[in-house]
Amino acid sequence: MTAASLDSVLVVDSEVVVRAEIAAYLRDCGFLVIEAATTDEAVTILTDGRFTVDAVLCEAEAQGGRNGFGLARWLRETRPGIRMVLAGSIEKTAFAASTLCENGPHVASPYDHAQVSEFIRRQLAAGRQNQPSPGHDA
Amino acid sequence: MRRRQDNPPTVLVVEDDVIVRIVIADDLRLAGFEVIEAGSGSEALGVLSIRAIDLIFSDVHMPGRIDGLALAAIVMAQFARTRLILCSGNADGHDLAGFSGVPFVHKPYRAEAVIALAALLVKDGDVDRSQSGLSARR
Repeated sequence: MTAASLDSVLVVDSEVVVRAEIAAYLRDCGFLVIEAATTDEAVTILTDGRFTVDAVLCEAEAQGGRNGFGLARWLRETRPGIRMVLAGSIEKTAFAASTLCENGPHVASPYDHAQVSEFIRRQLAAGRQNQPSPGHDA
Repeated sequence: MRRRQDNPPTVLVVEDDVIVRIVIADDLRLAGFEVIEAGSGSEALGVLSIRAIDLIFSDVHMPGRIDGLALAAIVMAQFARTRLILCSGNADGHDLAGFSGVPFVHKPYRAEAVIALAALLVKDGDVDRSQSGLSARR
């Protein structure tokens, strides 16, 4: 845990349900949050020049030209001032988000990270059952 | 998870250009919408399988199996209460045949115009295009 204040977090996750919920949780902590679906999108954001990113929260197996570890190496070489947090599971991602909250613009986490991971699990299960059929399109 | 005491309309932004996506998503959030970001039509279907979405703002041309038009067709067939706005920099009348009731926004667009159109759609379920400043697709 660093003493430096963090204001903006880039969330990199290839599963939209996970990404959206973790991003919403971090926004409720007061962070400015940017979302990327792949490590390639993350690099595009980080090299664009218009966005300030203090920390990157990335799933280890993120999709893209690099996985999460590759993005971590790239960050260390090109953006050493940005804090990198890798997470290997939904639970660890939610826990990492709550840990970031402790250094965020607000002191407390808005709700328990275990609730977040459980909610995501339920949504993913519901999504597998309710996937809209692409067979009815025009 | 419910984070807010109020109940803002939920907009699903579907755009494969990550910079375009995060900019319009943030503008819509600042305007008071709850926003979910999807980088593809397939991601959008994943969101629709688990969440009620008031409005989809989608690019027409996207890589992958489900482009914006395929997504719009599925939404019109299976999610009648979800409003749609389509956008593109180069869609023509041939591309958009069969979507005469769907508002269309030309890229590059002004965020203010998109926000005005989105607000009208989620409020009234219909669009007064003379107020939105946007062109209606013919």
